[in-house]
Amino acid sequence: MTEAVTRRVLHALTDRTDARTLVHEHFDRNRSAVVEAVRDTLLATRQDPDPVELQELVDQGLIDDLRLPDRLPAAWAVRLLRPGVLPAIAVASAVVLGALALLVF
Amino acid sequence: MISGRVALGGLSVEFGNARRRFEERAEEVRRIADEHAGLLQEEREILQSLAELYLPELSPSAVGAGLAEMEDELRAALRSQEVHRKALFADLAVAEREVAEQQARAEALEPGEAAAADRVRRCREAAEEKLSADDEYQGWVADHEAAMERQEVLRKRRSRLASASSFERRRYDACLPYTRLRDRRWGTPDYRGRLIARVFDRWLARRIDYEELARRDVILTEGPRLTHAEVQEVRRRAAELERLTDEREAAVLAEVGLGNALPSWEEAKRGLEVERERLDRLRLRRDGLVGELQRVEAKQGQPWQEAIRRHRDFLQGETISGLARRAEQTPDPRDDDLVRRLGAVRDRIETSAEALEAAREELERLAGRTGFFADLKREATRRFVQRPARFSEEFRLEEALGANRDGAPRSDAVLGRLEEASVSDLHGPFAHVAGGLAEWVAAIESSLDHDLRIVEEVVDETFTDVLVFDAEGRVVSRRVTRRRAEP
Repeated sequence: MTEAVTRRVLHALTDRTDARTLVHEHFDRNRSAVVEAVRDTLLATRQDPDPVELQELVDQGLIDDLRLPDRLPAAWAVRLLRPGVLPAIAVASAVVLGALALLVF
Repeated sequence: MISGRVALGGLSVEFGNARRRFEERAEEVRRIADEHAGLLQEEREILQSLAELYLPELSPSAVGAGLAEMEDELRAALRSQEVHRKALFADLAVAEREVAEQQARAEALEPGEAAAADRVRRCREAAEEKLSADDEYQGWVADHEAAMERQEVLRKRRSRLASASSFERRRYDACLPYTRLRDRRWGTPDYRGRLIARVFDRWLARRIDYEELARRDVILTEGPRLTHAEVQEVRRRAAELERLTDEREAAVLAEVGLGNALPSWEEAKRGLEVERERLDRLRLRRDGLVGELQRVEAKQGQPWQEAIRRHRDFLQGETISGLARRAEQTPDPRDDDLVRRLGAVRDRIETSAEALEAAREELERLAGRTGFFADLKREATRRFVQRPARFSEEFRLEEALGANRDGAPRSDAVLGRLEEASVSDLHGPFAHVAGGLAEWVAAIESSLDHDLRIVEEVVDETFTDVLVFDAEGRVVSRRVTRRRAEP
Protein backbone atom coordinates (compact mmCIF):
# COMPACT_ATOMS: atom_id res chain seq x y z
CA MET A 1 0.00 0.00 0.00
CA THR A 2 2.76 2.42 1.00
CA GLU A 3 4.66 1.49 -2.11
CA ALA A 4 1.64 2.25 -4.35
CA VAL A 5 1.06 5.64 -2.74
CA THR A 6 4.72 6.56 -3.11
CA ARG A 7 4.64 5.53 -6.77
CA ARG A 8 1.56 7.70 -7.45
CA VAL A 9 3.03 10.76 -5.75
CA LEU A 10 6.27 10.42 -7.67
CA HIS A 11 4.33 10.01 -10.90
CA ALA A 12 2.24 13.13 -10.20
CA LEU A 13 5.37 15.17 -9.52
CA THR A 14 7.18 14.04 -12.66
CA ASP A 15 4.10 13.90 -14.90
CA ARG A 16 4.80 15.42 -18.32
CA THR A 17 1.22 15.11 -19.52
CA ASP A 18 -0.32 18.04 -17.61
CA ALA A 19 -2.86 19.48 -20.08
CA ARG A 20 -2.04 23.14 -19.49
CA THR A 21 1.69 22.53 -19.95
CA LEU A 22 1.11 20.44 -23.05
CA VAL A 23 -1.10 23.07 -24.69
CA HIS A 24 1.36 25.82 -23.88
CA GLU A 25 4.35 23.85 -25.14
CA HIS A 26 2.61 22.84 -28.32
CA PHE A 27 1.34 26.26 -29.35
CA ASP A 28 3.44 28.88 -27.64
CA ARG A 29 6.91 27.59 -26.80
CA ASN A 30 9.33 28.75 -29.44
CA ARG A 31 6.42 30.18 -31.39
CA SER A 32 8.17 33.40 -32.34
CA ALA A 33 11.17 31.37 -33.56
CA VAL A 34 8.87 29.18 -35.64
CA VAL A 35 7.07 32.17 -37.13
CA GLU A 36 10.38 33.85 -37.92
CA ALA A 37 11.72 30.70 -39.58
CA VAL A 38 8.59 30.34 -41.74
CA ARG A 39 8.79 33.99 -42.70
CA ASP A 40 12.46 33.73 -43.65
CA THR A 41 11.75 30.66 -45.72
CA LEU A 42 8.88 32.35 -47.53
CA LEU A 43 11.00 35.43 -48.15
CA ALA A 44 13.76 33.22 -49.55
CA THR A 45 11.23 31.88 -52.04
CA ARG A 46 10.34 35.45 -53.03
CA GLN A 47 7.01 35.44 -51.17
CA ASP A 48 6.20 38.29 -48.83
CA PRO A 49 3.60 37.02 -46.36
CA ASP A 50 1.33 39.28 -44.37
CA PRO A 51 2.32 39.04 -40.64
CA VAL A 52 -1.23 38.28 -39.49
CA GLU A 53 -1.66 35.71 -42.21
CA LEU A 54 1.66 34.14 -41.22
CA GLN A 55 0.56 33.81 -37.58
CA GLU A 56 -2.63 32.10 -38.68
CA LEU A 57 -0.75 29.76 -41.02
CA VAL A 58 1.52 28.68 -38.18
CA ASP A 59 -1.46 28.14 -35.84
CA GLN A 60 -3.27 26.10 -38.48
CA GLY A 61 -0.13 24.03 -39.04
CA LEU A 62 0.17 23.32 -35.32
CA ILE A 63 -3.46 22.20 -35.17
CA ASP A 64 -3.02 19.95 -38.22
CA ASP A 65 -0.06 18.41 -36.43
CA LEU A 66 -2.46 17.03 -33.79
CA ARG A 67 -4.32 14.81 -36.23
CA LEU A 68 -4.09 11.00 -35.89
CA PRO A 69 -1.81 9.42 -38.53
CA ASP A 70 -3.83 7.59 -41.19
CA ARG A 71 -2.06 4.22 -40.96
CA LEU A 72 -0.89 3.10 -37.53
CA PRO A 73 1.31 -0.04 -37.28
CA ALA A 74 0.47 -3.07 -35.13
CA ALA A 75 -3.29 -2.82 -35.41
CA TRP A 76 -3.34 -6.47 -36.48
CA ALA A 77 -1.58 -7.51 -33.26
CA VAL A 78 -4.27 -5.89 -31.15
CA ARG A 79 -6.98 -7.76 -33.01
CA LEU A 80 -5.27 -10.99 -31.98
CA LEU A 81 -5.71 -10.12 -28.34
CA ARG A 82 -9.47 -9.90 -28.55
CA PRO A 83 -11.25 -12.46 -26.25
CA GLY A 84 -11.44 -15.92 -27.86
CA VAL A 85 -9.10 -15.21 -30.74
CA LEU A 86 -5.95 -16.68 -29.16
CA PRO A 87 -7.71 -19.88 -27.93
CA ALA A 88 -9.22 -20.34 -31.36
CA ILE A 89 -5.77 -19.99 -32.94
CA ALA A 90 -4.34 -22.44 -30.41
CA VAL A 91 -7.07 -25.02 -31.11
CA ALA A 92 -6.70 -24.58 -34.86
CA SER A 93 -2.92 -24.96 -34.58
CA ALA A 94 -3.31 -28.08 -32.43
CA VAL A 95 -5.68 -29.57 -34.99
CA VAL A 96 -3.33 -28.82 -37.84
CA LEU A 97 -0.34 -30.21 -35.94
CA GLY A 98 -2.34 -33.37 -35.03
CA ALA A 99 -3.33 -33.90 -38.63
CA LEU A 100 0.26 -33.48 -39.77
CA ALA A 101 1.44 -35.96 -37.12
CA LEU A 102 -1.07 -38.58 -38.31
CA LEU A 103 0.05 -38.13 -41.88
CA VAL A 104 3.73 -38.43 -41.01
CA PHE A 105 3.54 -41.30 -38.62
CA MET B 1 0.18 73.30 -44.17
CA ILE B 2 -1.77 76.52 -44.55
CA SER B 3 -5.06 77.42 -42.93
CA GLY B 4 -8.42 77.26 -44.70
CA ARG B 5 -8.72 81.03 -44.39
CA VAL B 6 -5.54 81.61 -46.37
CA ALA B 7 -6.14 78.77 -48.84
CA LEU B 8 -9.66 79.96 -49.64
CA GLY B 9 -8.94 83.67 -49.53
CA GLY B 10 -9.19 83.67 -53.34
CA LEU B 11 -12.91 82.88 -53.09
CA SER B 12 -13.53 86.43 -51.85
CA VAL B 13 -11.72 87.73 -54.89
CA GLU B 14 -13.71 85.51 -57.24
CA PHE B 15 -16.95 86.58 -55.57
CA GLY B 16 -15.94 90.25 -55.81
CA ASN B 17 -15.03 89.89 -59.48
CA ALA B 18 -18.30 88.13 -60.32
CA ARG B 19 -20.27 90.77 -58.44
CA ARG B 20 -18.40 93.59 -60.22
CA ARG B 21 -19.09 92.06 -63.62
CA PHE B 22 -22.74 91.64 -62.70
CA GLU B 23 -23.03 95.28 -61.67
CA GLU B 24 -21.34 96.45 -64.86
CA ARG B 25 -23.74 94.40 -66.95
CA ALA B 26 -26.73 95.60 -64.89
CA GLU B 27 -25.67 99.19 -65.53
CA GLU B 28 -25.54 98.44 -69.24
CA VAL B 29 -29.01 96.86 -69.13
CA ARG B 30 -30.33 99.95 -67.36
CA ARG B 31 -28.81 102.19 -70.00
CA ILE B 32 -30.23 100.14 -72.90
CA ALA B 33 -33.66 99.95 -71.23
CA ASP B 34 -33.75 103.73 -70.78
CA GLU B 35 -32.73 104.18 -74.38
CA HIS B 36 -35.36 101.68 -75.46
CA ALA B 37 -38.08 103.51 -73.54
CA GLY B 38 -36.96 106.78 -75.11
CA LEU B 39 -37.13 105.28 -78.59
CA LEU B 40 -40.62 103.93 -77.96
CA GLN B 41 -41.70 107.38 -76.83
CA GLU B 42 -40.20 108.93 -79.97
CA GLU B 43 -42.00 106.36 -82.14
CA ARG B 44 -45.22 107.16 -80.31
CA GLU B 45 -44.84 110.89 -80.91
CA ILE B 46 -44.13 110.38 -84.63
CA LEU B 47 -47.15 108.16 -84.96
CA GLN B 48 -49.30 110.71 -83.19
CA SER B 49 -48.14 113.37 -85.68
CA LEU B 50 -48.94 111.00 -88.56
CA ALA B 51 -52.38 110.28 -87.08
CA GLU B 52 -53.15 113.98 -86.91
CA LEU B 53 -52.30 114.23 -90.62
CA TYR B 54 -54.18 111.22 -91.98
CA LEU B 55 -56.93 110.02 -89.68
CA PRO B 56 -60.39 111.56 -89.25
CA GLU B 57 -60.84 114.03 -86.48
CA LEU B 58 -61.82 111.57 -83.74
CA SER B 59 -59.20 108.98 -84.63
CA PRO B 60 -56.12 111.02 -83.73
CA SER B 61 -57.53 111.71 -80.32
CA ALA B 62 -58.35 108.01 -79.91
CA VAL B 63 -54.82 107.06 -80.92
CA GLY B 64 -53.47 109.80 -78.71
CA ALA B 65 -55.52 108.54 -75.79
CA GLY B 66 -54.25 105.01 -76.33
CA LEU B 67 -50.67 106.20 -76.52
CA ALA B 68 -51.11 108.35 -73.42
CA GLU B 69 -52.51 105.34 -71.57
CA MET B 70 -49.43 103.34 -72.57
CA GLU B 71 -47.22 106.12 -71.32
CA ASP B 72 -49.12 106.24 -68.05
CA GLU B 73 -48.65 102.52 -67.68
CA LEU B 74 -44.93 102.81 -68.25
CA ARG B 75 -44.67 105.62 -65.76
CA ALA B 76 -46.76 103.69 -63.21
CA ALA B 77 -44.54 100.66 -63.66
CA LEU B 78 -41.47 102.78 -63.17
CA ARG B 79 -43.02 104.43 -60.12
CA SER B 80 -43.89 101.10 -58.53
CA GLN B 81 -40.39 99.84 -59.19
CA GLU B 82 -38.97 102.97 -57.67
CA VAL B 83 -41.10 102.51 -54.55
CA HIS B 84 -40.04 98.91 -54.36
CA ARG B 85 -36.40 99.91 -54.87
CA LYS B 86 -36.56 102.44 -52.03
CA ALA B 87 -38.15 99.91 -49.72
CA LEU B 88 -35.43 97.43 -50.65
CA PHE B 89 -32.76 100.04 -50.01
CA ALA B 90 -34.18 100.69 -46.56
CA ASP B 91 -34.35 96.95 -45.79
CA LEU B 92 -30.86 96.46 -47.13
CA ALA B 93 -29.46 99.22 -44.94
CA VAL B 94 -31.04 97.56 -41.89
CA ALA B 95 -29.77 94.15 -43.01
CA GLU B 96 -26.24 95.49 -43.58
CA ARG B 97 -26.25 97.04 -40.13
CA GLU B 98 -27.47 93.81 -38.55
CA VAL B 99 -24.79 91.81 -40.41
CA ALA B 100 -22.08 94.22 -39.28
CA GLU B 101 -23.28 94.09 -35.67
CA GLN B 102 -23.54 90.32 -35.74
CA GLN B 103 -20.11 90.00 -37.33
CA ALA B 104 -18.65 92.20 -34.63
CA ARG B 105 -20.33 90.01 -31.99
CA ALA B 106 -18.93 86.84 -33.60
CA GLU B 107 -15.46 88.32 -33.99
CA ALA B 108 -15.49 89.47 -30.39
CA LEU B 109 -15.93 85.84 -29.33
CA GLU B 110 -13.16 84.50 -31.57
CA PRO B 111 -10.14 85.49 -29.42
CA GLY B 112 -11.76 83.90 -26.36
CA GLU B 113 -12.44 80.67 -28.24
CA ALA B 114 -8.91 80.62 -29.70
CA ALA B 115 -7.41 81.20 -26.27
CA ALA B 116 -9.55 78.42 -24.76
CA ALA B 117 -8.56 76.05 -27.60
CA ASP B 118 -4.92 76.93 -27.08
CA ARG B 119 -5.25 76.28 -23.37
CA VAL B 120 -6.76 72.84 -24.04
CA ARG B 121 -4.00 72.07 -26.53
CA ARG B 122 -1.31 73.08 -24.04
CA CYS B 123 -2.95 70.96 -21.34
CA ARG B 124 -3.04 67.95 -23.67
CA GLU B 125 0.58 68.42 -24.65
CA ALA B 126 1.58 68.70 -21.00
CA ALA B 127 -0.42 65.57 -20.18
CA GLU B 128 1.16 63.66 -23.07
CA GLU B 129 4.59 64.76 -21.94
CA LYS B 130 3.95 63.62 -18.38
CA LEU B 131 2.52 60.29 -19.50
CA SER B 132 5.36 59.60 -21.94
CA ALA B 133 7.82 60.10 -19.07
CA ASP B 134 5.83 57.74 -16.83
CA ASP B 135 7.51 54.32 -17.22
CA GLU B 136 4.80 52.51 -15.28
CA TYR B 137 2.08 53.95 -17.53
CA GLN B 138 4.07 53.12 -20.68
CA GLY B 139 4.48 49.57 -19.37
CA TRP B 140 0.72 49.26 -18.90
CA VAL B 141 0.10 50.55 -22.39
CA ALA B 142 2.58 48.07 -23.88
CA ASP B 143 1.09 45.21 -21.81
CA HIS B 144 -2.41 46.16 -22.87
CA GLU B 145 -1.42 46.15 -26.51
CA ALA B 146 0.24 42.74 -26.12
CA ALA B 147 -2.84 41.43 -24.28
CA MET B 148 -5.16 42.53 -27.04
CA GLU B 149 -2.98 40.87 -29.68
CA ARG B 150 -2.79 37.71 -27.59
CA GLN B 151 -6.56 37.69 -27.13
CA GLU B 152 -7.08 37.89 -30.88
CA VAL B 153 -4.67 34.98 -31.50
CA LEU B 154 -6.32 32.88 -28.78
CA ARG B 155 -9.83 33.49 -30.04
CA LYS B 156 -8.96 32.26 -33.50
CA ARG B 157 -7.04 29.30 -32.07
CA ARG B 158 -9.95 28.28 -29.84
CA SER B 159 -12.30 28.27 -32.77
CA ARG B 160 -10.00 26.16 -34.98
CA LEU B 161 -9.07 23.83 -32.15
CA ALA B 162 -12.71 23.17 -31.24
CA SER B 163 -13.48 22.34 -34.84
CA ALA B 164 -10.49 19.97 -35.19
CA SER B 165 -11.16 18.39 -31.79
CA SER B 166 -14.73 17.33 -32.51
CA PHE B 167 -13.57 15.42 -35.60
CA GLU B 168 -10.21 14.02 -34.49
CA ARG B 169 -11.28 12.72 -31.09
CA ARG B 170 -13.69 10.32 -32.77
CA ARG B 171 -10.77 8.95 -34.78
CA TYR B 172 -8.62 8.53 -31.66
CA ASP B 173 -11.48 6.71 -29.93
CA ALA B 174 -11.80 4.37 -32.89
CA CYS B 175 -8.08 3.52 -33.02
CA LEU B 176 -7.68 0.07 -31.38
CA PRO B 177 -3.92 0.06 -30.58
CA TYR B 178 -4.22 3.48 -28.96
CA THR B 179 -7.45 2.85 -27.05
CA ARG B 180 -6.11 -0.47 -25.71
CA LEU B 181 -3.16 1.26 -24.08
CA ARG B 182 -5.20 4.27 -22.99
CA ASP B 183 -7.95 2.19 -21.43
CA ARG B 184 -5.41 0.10 -19.56
CA ARG B 185 -3.77 3.38 -18.40
CA TRP B 186 -0.39 2.45 -19.83
CA GLY B 187 2.46 4.48 -18.34
CA THR B 188 0.63 5.28 -15.11
CA PRO B 189 0.81 3.65 -11.68
CA ASP B 190 -2.72 2.34 -12.29
CA TYR B 191 -1.59 0.03 -15.10
CA ARG B 192 -2.30 -3.62 -14.29
CA GLY B 193 -0.91 -6.26 -16.62
CA ARG B 194 0.61 -9.62 -16.29
CA LEU B 195 3.96 -10.55 -17.72
CA ILE B 196 2.91 -11.42 -21.27
CA ALA B 197 0.43 -8.51 -21.51
CA ARG B 198 3.02 -6.09 -20.14
CA VAL B 199 5.60 -7.28 -22.71
CA PHE B 200 3.04 -6.98 -25.48
CA ASP B 201 1.89 -3.49 -24.38
CA ARG B 202 5.46 -2.24 -24.14
CA TRP B 203 6.08 -3.47 -27.66
CA LEU B 204 2.82 -1.89 -28.86
CA ALA B 205 3.50 1.47 -27.18
CA ARG B 206 6.86 1.61 -28.88
CA ARG B 207 5.40 0.70 -32.26
CA ILE B 208 2.67 3.37 -32.27
CA ASP B 209 4.57 6.02 -30.28
CA TYR B 210 1.88 6.01 -27.63
CA GLU B 211 3.33 8.92 -25.65
CA GLU B 212 3.09 11.24 -28.62
CA LEU B 213 -0.47 10.13 -29.43
CA ALA B 214 -1.49 10.57 -25.80
CA ARG B 215 -0.01 14.06 -25.79
CA ARG B 216 -1.99 15.02 -28.92
CA ASP B 217 -5.16 13.47 -27.49
CA VAL B 218 -4.83 15.51 -24.31
CA ILE B 219 -4.30 18.73 -26.29
CA LEU B 220 -7.33 18.02 -28.47
CA THR B 221 -9.47 17.15 -25.47
CA GLU B 222 -8.46 19.89 -23.10
CA GLY B 223 -7.19 22.52 -25.57
CA PRO B 224 -10.49 24.29 -26.37
CA ARG B 225 -11.43 24.60 -22.69
CA LEU B 226 -7.98 25.78 -21.64
CA THR B 227 -7.75 28.23 -24.53
CA HIS B 228 -11.15 29.64 -23.63
CA ALA B 229 -10.02 30.01 -20.02
CA GLU B 230 -6.89 31.81 -21.19
CA VAL B 231 -8.99 34.16 -23.36
CA GLN B 232 -11.03 35.05 -20.29
CA GLU B 233 -7.88 35.56 -18.25
CA VAL B 234 -6.31 37.79 -20.91
CA ARG B 235 -9.54 39.76 -21.19
CA ARG B 236 -9.63 40.31 -17.43
CA ARG B 237 -6.01 41.40 -17.50
CA ALA B 238 -6.65 43.82 -20.39
CA ALA B 239 -9.66 45.30 -18.56
CA GLU B 240 -7.54 45.77 -15.46
CA LEU B 241 -4.81 47.48 -17.50
CA GLU B 242 -7.43 49.73 -19.14
CA ARG B 243 -8.73 50.72 -15.75
CA LEU B 244 -5.24 51.52 -14.53
CA THR B 245 -4.32 53.57 -17.62
CA ASP B 246 -7.67 55.42 -17.55
CA GLU B 247 -7.19 56.29 -13.89
CA ARG B 248 -3.64 57.47 -14.50
CA GLU B 249 -4.71 59.54 -17.54
CA ALA B 250 -7.58 61.10 -15.60
CA ALA B 251 -5.25 61.94 -12.74
CA VAL B 252 -2.66 63.51 -15.05
CA LEU B 253 -5.31 65.47 -17.02
CA ALA B 254 -6.74 66.76 -13.76
CA GLU B 255 -3.24 67.63 -12.58
CA VAL B 256 -2.52 69.72 -15.70
CA GLY B 257 -5.92 71.45 -15.45
CA LEU B 258 -7.75 70.02 -18.48
CA GLY B 259 -10.83 69.44 -16.36
CA ASN B 260 -11.34 73.19 -16.16
CA ALA B 261 -10.03 74.09 -19.62
CA LEU B 262 -12.16 71.64 -21.59
CA PRO B 263 -15.64 72.79 -20.45
CA SER B 264 -14.72 76.44 -20.96
CA TRP B 265 -13.47 75.66 -24.48
CA GLU B 266 -16.65 73.71 -25.27
CA GLU B 267 -18.75 76.59 -24.01
CA ALA B 268 -16.75 79.17 -26.00
CA LYS B 269 -16.97 77.03 -29.14
CA ARG B 270 -20.71 76.55 -28.74
CA GLY B 271 -21.25 80.28 -28.21
CA LEU B 272 -19.17 81.11 -31.28
CA GLU B 273 -21.04 78.58 -33.43
CA VAL B 274 -24.39 80.04 -32.38
CA GLU B 275 -23.24 83.56 -33.28
CA ARG B 276 -21.82 82.38 -36.62
CA GLU B 277 -25.02 80.56 -37.52
CA ARG B 278 -26.95 83.73 -36.76
CA LEU B 279 -24.49 85.66 -38.91
CA ASP B 280 -24.98 83.20 -41.78
CA ARG B 281 -28.74 83.63 -41.59
CA LEU B 282 -28.42 87.42 -41.63
CA ARG B 283 -25.99 87.28 -44.57
CA LEU B 284 -28.38 85.02 -46.45
CA ARG B 285 -31.20 87.52 -45.97
CA ARG B 286 -28.95 90.44 -46.98
CA ASP B 287 -27.78 88.59 -50.12
CA GLY B 288 -31.43 87.93 -51.04
CA LEU B 289 -32.22 91.63 -50.72
CA VAL B 290 -29.16 92.55 -52.78
CA GLY B 291 -30.21 90.13 -55.52
CA GLU B 292 -33.74 91.50 -55.64
CA LEU B 293 -32.47 95.07 -55.68
CA GLN B 294 -30.14 94.27 -58.55
CA ARG B 295 -33.02 92.80 -60.51
CA VAL B 296 -35.18 95.86 -59.86
CA GLU B 297 -32.35 98.20 -60.81
CA ALA B 298 -31.85 96.29 -64.03
CA LYS B 299 -35.57 96.92 -64.81
CA GLN B 300 -36.29 93.28 -64.94
CA GLY B 301 -39.39 93.61 -62.83
CA GLN B 302 -42.64 92.10 -64.03
CA PRO B 303 -44.65 95.42 -64.17
CA TRP B 304 -42.00 97.10 -66.30
CA GLN B 305 -41.73 94.21 -68.77
CA GLU B 306 -45.51 93.92 -69.02
CA ALA B 307 -45.86 97.65 -69.73
CA ILE B 308 -43.17 97.48 -72.44
CA ARG B 309 -44.85 94.47 -74.05
CA ARG B 310 -48.27 96.17 -74.15
CA HIS B 311 -46.69 99.32 -75.52
CA ARG B 312 -45.08 97.43 -78.38
CA ASP B 313 -48.25 95.44 -79.08
CA PHE B 314 -50.22 98.65 -79.33
CA LEU B 315 -47.70 100.29 -81.67
CA GLN B 316 -47.66 97.18 -83.90
CA GLY B 317 -51.48 96.93 -83.88
CA GLU B 318 -53.57 97.11 -87.05
CA THR B 319 -54.56 100.77 -86.71
CA ILE B 320 -51.00 101.95 -86.21
CA SER B 321 -49.65 99.62 -88.93
CA GLY B 322 -52.31 100.92 -91.35
CA LEU B 323 -51.44 104.48 -90.46
CA ALA B 324 -47.73 103.86 -91.13
CA ARG B 325 -48.48 102.13 -94.46
CA ARG B 326 -50.75 104.94 -95.55
CA ALA B 327 -48.15 107.56 -94.69
CA GLU B 328 -45.49 105.64 -96.65
CA GLN B 329 -47.74 105.23 -99.70
CA THR B 330 -49.12 108.80 -99.78
CA PRO B 331 -46.89 111.30 -101.61
CA ASP B 332 -47.33 114.18 -99.21
CA PRO B 333 -44.34 116.50 -98.50
CA ARG B 334 -45.68 117.10 -94.97
CA ASP B 335 -45.04 113.50 -93.87
CA ASP B 336 -41.71 112.78 -95.61
CA ASP B 337 -39.70 113.75 -92.60
CA LEU B 338 -42.04 111.88 -90.22
CA VAL B 339 -41.89 108.66 -92.31
CA ARG B 340 -38.10 108.85 -92.51
CA ARG B 341 -37.84 109.41 -88.76
CA LEU B 342 -40.31 106.55 -88.09
CA GLY B 343 -38.20 104.13 -90.19
CA ALA B 344 -35.01 105.23 -88.45
CA VAL B 345 -36.49 104.99 -84.95
CA ARG B 346 -37.93 101.55 -85.69
CA ASP B 347 -34.53 100.31 -86.87
CA ARG B 348 -32.99 101.62 -83.69
CA ILE B 349 -35.77 100.02 -81.60
CA GLU B 350 -35.06 96.69 -83.29
CA THR B 351 -31.33 96.97 -82.57
CA SER B 352 -32.00 98.14 -79.04
CA ALA B 353 -34.39 95.24 -78.39
CA GLU B 354 -31.79 92.71 -79.55
CA ALA B 355 -29.07 94.34 -77.45
CA LEU B 356 -31.41 94.43 -74.45
CA GLU B 357 -32.25 90.75 -74.86
CA ALA B 358 -28.59 89.74 -75.12
CA ALA B 359 -27.59 91.93 -72.19
CA ARG B 360 -30.36 90.46 -70.05
CA GLU B 361 -29.30 86.91 -70.88
CA GLU B 362 -25.73 87.79 -69.93
CA LEU B 363 -27.04 89.41 -66.77
CA GLU B 364 -28.92 86.27 -65.79
CA ARG B 365 -25.78 84.17 -66.35
CA LEU B 366 -23.74 86.55 -64.23
CA ALA B 367 -26.41 86.53 -61.54
CA GLY B 368 -26.11 82.73 -61.40
CA ARG B 369 -22.32 82.95 -61.23
CA THR B 370 -22.41 85.60 -58.49
CA GLY B 371 -24.89 83.52 -56.53
CA PHE B 372 -22.68 80.46 -56.96
CA PHE B 373 -19.65 82.23 -55.55
CA ALA B 374 -21.71 83.73 -52.72
CA ASP B 375 -23.01 80.26 -51.78
CA LEU B 376 -19.58 78.68 -52.19
CA LYS B 377 -17.90 81.36 -50.11
CA ARG B 378 -20.49 81.00 -47.35
CA GLU B 379 -20.30 77.20 -47.32
CA ALA B 380 -16.50 77.12 -47.60
CA THR B 381 -16.22 79.62 -44.76
CA ARG B 382 -18.49 77.45 -42.64
CA ARG B 383 -16.65 74.21 -43.43
CA PHE B 384 -13.01 75.23 -43.75
CA VAL B 385 -12.53 78.55 -41.98
CA GLN B 386 -14.88 78.57 -39.00
CA ARG B 387 -13.92 74.96 -38.23
CA PRO B 388 -10.13 74.73 -38.24
CA ALA B 389 -8.92 73.01 -41.41
CA ARG B 390 -5.56 72.88 -43.13
CA PHE B 391 -4.56 72.72 -46.76
CA SER B 392 -1.31 71.67 -48.32
CA GLU B 393 0.99 74.48 -49.41
CA GLU B 394 0.65 72.98 -52.89
CA PHE B 395 -3.11 73.61 -52.86
CA ARG B 396 -4.39 75.87 -55.65
CA LEU B 397 -7.93 77.26 -55.52
CA GLU B 398 -8.04 77.55 -59.32
CA GLU B 399 -7.64 73.79 -59.65
CA ALA B 400 -10.44 73.15 -57.16
CA LEU B 401 -12.77 75.50 -59.07
CA GLY B 402 -12.17 73.44 -62.22
CA ALA B 403 -11.72 74.39 -65.85
CA ASN B 404 -15.18 75.92 -66.33
CA ARG B 405 -14.40 79.11 -64.46
CA ASP B 406 -16.38 81.44 -66.72
CA GLY B 407 -19.61 79.58 -66.07
CA ALA B 408 -21.06 78.49 -62.78
CA PRO B 409 -19.44 75.17 -61.83
CA ARG B 410 -21.35 72.86 -59.54
CA SER B 411 -20.79 73.97 -55.98
CA ASP B 412 -21.05 70.43 -54.56
CA ALA B 413 -18.30 69.25 -56.93
CA VAL B 414 -16.06 72.14 -55.91
CA LEU B 415 -16.78 71.54 -52.22
CA GLY B 416 -15.97 67.86 -52.72
CA ARG B 417 -12.60 68.79 -54.20
CA LEU B 418 -11.98 71.16 -51.27
CA GLU B 419 -12.88 68.39 -48.80
CA GLU B 420 -10.36 66.10 -50.47
CA ALA B 421 -7.66 68.76 -50.32
CA SER B 422 -8.27 69.75 -46.71
CA VAL B 423 -7.04 68.17 -43.50
CA SER B 424 -9.27 68.54 -40.44
CA ASP B 425 -7.55 69.96 -37.44
CA LEU B 426 -9.19 68.67 -34.29
CA HIS B 427 -6.46 69.68 -31.91
CA GLY B 428 -6.55 73.41 -32.12
CA PRO B 429 -5.77 76.04 -34.67
CA PHE B 430 -2.03 75.60 -35.00
CA ALA B 431 -1.39 72.00 -34.03
CA HIS B 432 -0.15 70.78 -37.41
CA VAL B 433 1.67 73.88 -38.49
CA ALA B 434 5.35 73.64 -37.92
CA GLY B 435 8.18 76.06 -37.32
CA GLY B 436 8.40 79.34 -39.20
CA LEU B 437 5.33 78.60 -41.27
CA ALA B 438 3.21 78.62 -38.10
CA GLU B 439 4.41 82.10 -37.30
CA TRP B 440 3.78 83.22 -40.85
CA VAL B 441 0.22 81.88 -40.84
CA ALA B 442 -0.42 83.21 -37.34
CA ALA B 443 0.76 86.66 -38.38
CA ILE B 444 -1.61 86.65 -41.34
CA GLU B 445 -4.57 85.27 -39.43
CA SER B 446 -4.22 87.71 -36.60
CA SER B 447 -3.96 90.79 -38.82
CA LEU B 448 -6.43 90.20 -41.66
CA ASP B 449 -10.08 90.04 -42.50
CA HIS B 450 -11.52 87.29 -44.68
CA ASP B 451 -10.93 89.02 -48.02
CA LEU B 452 -7.44 87.79 -48.76
CA ARG B 453 -5.98 87.51 -52.22
CA ILE B 454 -2.96 85.35 -52.93
CA VAL B 455 -0.77 86.10 -55.93
CA GLU B 456 2.05 83.84 -56.98
CA GLU B 457 4.94 85.34 -58.93
CA VAL B 458 7.68 83.28 -60.50
CA VAL B 459 11.09 84.36 -59.26
CA ASP B 460 13.23 81.86 -61.15
CA GLU B 461 13.20 78.19 -62.13
CA THR B 462 13.34 77.03 -58.54
CA PHE B 463 11.41 79.53 -56.43
CA THR B 464 8.18 81.50 -56.54
CA ASP B 465 7.22 84.53 -54.56
CA VAL B 466 3.83 84.18 -52.84
CA LEU B 467 2.22 87.50 -52.02
CA VAL B 468 -0.90 87.89 -49.88
CA PHE B 469 -3.00 91.05 -50.36
CA ASP B 470 -5.88 92.24 -48.23
CA ALA B 471 -9.18 93.59 -49.53
CA GLU B 472 -7.68 97.04 -50.10
CA GLY B 473 -4.80 95.64 -52.15
CA ARG B 474 -2.12 96.09 -49.49
CA VAL B 475 0.62 93.47 -49.34
CA VAL B 476 0.24 91.83 -45.95
CA SER B 477 2.63 88.96 -46.36
CA ARG B 478 5.31 87.75 -48.67
CA ARG B 479 6.92 84.37 -48.75
CA VAL B 480 9.35 82.66 -51.12
CA THR B 481 8.49 79.03 -51.71
CA ARG B 482 9.89 76.23 -53.82
CA ARG B 483 8.10 75.70 -57.13
CA ARG B 484 6.19 72.55 -57.82
CA ALA B 485 7.73 70.17 -60.34
CA GLU B 486 6.16 70.49 -63.78
CA PRO B 487 3.98 67.43 -64.54
